[in-house]
Amino acid sequence: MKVTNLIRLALIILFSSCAVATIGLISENKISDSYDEIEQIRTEKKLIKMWKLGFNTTYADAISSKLMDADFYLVEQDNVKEINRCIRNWQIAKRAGLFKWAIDDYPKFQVQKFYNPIIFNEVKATQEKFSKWDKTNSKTKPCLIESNRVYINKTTTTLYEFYPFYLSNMNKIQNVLNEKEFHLYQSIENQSSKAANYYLFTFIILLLSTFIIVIFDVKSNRGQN
Amino acid sequence: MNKLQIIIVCAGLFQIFSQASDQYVIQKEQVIRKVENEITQKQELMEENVNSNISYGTVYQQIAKDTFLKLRLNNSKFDDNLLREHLKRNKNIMYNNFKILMTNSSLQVDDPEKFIQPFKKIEVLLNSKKNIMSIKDELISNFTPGTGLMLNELYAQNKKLETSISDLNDKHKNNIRNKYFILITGMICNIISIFFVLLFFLSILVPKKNKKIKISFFKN
Repeated sequence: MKVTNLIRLALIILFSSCAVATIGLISENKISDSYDEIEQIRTEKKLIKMWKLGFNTTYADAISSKLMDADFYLVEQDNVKEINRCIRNWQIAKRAGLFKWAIDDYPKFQVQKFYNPIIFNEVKATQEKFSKWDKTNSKTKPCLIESNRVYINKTTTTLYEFYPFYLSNMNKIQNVLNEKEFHLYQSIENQSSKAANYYLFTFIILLLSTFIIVIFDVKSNRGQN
Repeated sequence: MNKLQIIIVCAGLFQIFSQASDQYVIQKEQVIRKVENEITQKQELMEENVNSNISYGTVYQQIAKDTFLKLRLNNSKFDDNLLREHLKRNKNIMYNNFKILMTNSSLQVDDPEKFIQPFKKIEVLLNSKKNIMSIKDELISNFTPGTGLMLNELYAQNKKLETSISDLNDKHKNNIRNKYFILITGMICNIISIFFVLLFFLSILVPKKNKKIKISFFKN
C-alpha cells in the first residue's frame, strides 16, 4: 500500500474515532442529567424525612399524653376529671401546630396523586379554627365550660387521627420517589456501560490509527535523505 | 531497521501504552461510578432503617412500659375488663404503627407475617375468657419483645448493611488507587512517547546542522 493511502486511511479512522467518542459523550450527558434528577429527588426526600421525623415525634408525644390521660382519668376526682381531660387534650391539640406548615409544604412535592383535598382541607380548617380559639382562650379557663370541652375533644380527635394518615401519605410519596430513583440508577448503569463500550471502540480505532501511523512512518524511511 | 525507524516504533509503542492506560482509566471510571451508586443506595437504606427504628421504637417503648406496669403493679382501679380494654388499645396503637411502617417500601422485610404473629397472639389472649392476670406473663412476652421484633430486624439489617458498605468502600478505595496509578503510568508513557518523537526530530536535525557547520568551516 502506498504511504499516501495509508495516511488517508489513518485520517478516516481518526475521524470515525472522534464520531464514536462524541456518541460516548452524549451518553455521559444523559448520565449527568440523570444525576441531576436524582439530586432533585434526594432534596425532596429530605423534606419528606424532615416532616416524617417531626410527625413521628409529635405523634409519639400525643400517644404518651393519651396513655397518661387514660390513667389519670381513672384516679382523678369526678368533679375535675373531665376538666383535666380537656386540658390534656388542649395540650395535644396545641402540639399539632406543625400541621399548618406541613400542609402548606405539600404542593412542593412532585408527586401529588396522594393528595386528599377533603381530609387536608378539613384538618387545615380545624387547625386554623383551633389556633384562633387558643389565642382567645389562652388566658382564661375554657375547660370549665362544657361546650369548650366538647369542642376540644372533637378537635383533638380530628388532629390526632391525622398523624397516621399523613405518615402513611408521606411513605406513599417516598415509595414513588424511590421507584423513580431506582429507575434512574438503572438508566445510569445502562448508559454508563454503553458509554464504556463506545470508549473501548474509540480506543481500538485509535490503536489502529497509531499502528498505521507508525507503519507509514517506518515505510516512508523518513530522515534518510 | 535503522536507528530512526526504531525510534519511531518506540514512540508508537509508548503512545499505545499511554492510550491503553487512558482506556483502562475510562473503563475503571464506570466501575467506580457503579460502586459509588451502590454505596449511596445502601447508605440511604441504612438511614431509612435508622429513622424507622426511631419512629417505631419511640412508640414501642411507651406501650411496652405502659403494658408492663399495668400488668405488674397492684392497682385496685383496674378490673379485668378495664385492663383488657387498655391492653387492646395498646395493641391497636402498636399494630397501627406497624402498618404505617410497612407502607414504606424502602424497608426490605422478607417475611412481614412473622412480625404480625405476636399481635395475633395478643388478640387471641385478650379475647379469651381467661383472667388477664393469669395470662400476664404470656401477654408481657408478646408485647415485649413480641411487638418490637421489627426493631431487632431493622438493627440486624443495618449490621449487614454496615459490613456490605465497608466492603464496598474498600473496593472503591482500591479502584481509585489503581485508577490513579494507571493514570500516572499512562502520563509517563505519553511523556516517553513525546521524548522519542523529539529524539526523532533531533536525529533528523543534528546531522543537517553538522553538515551546515562543516560547510561553514570550509568556507572559512
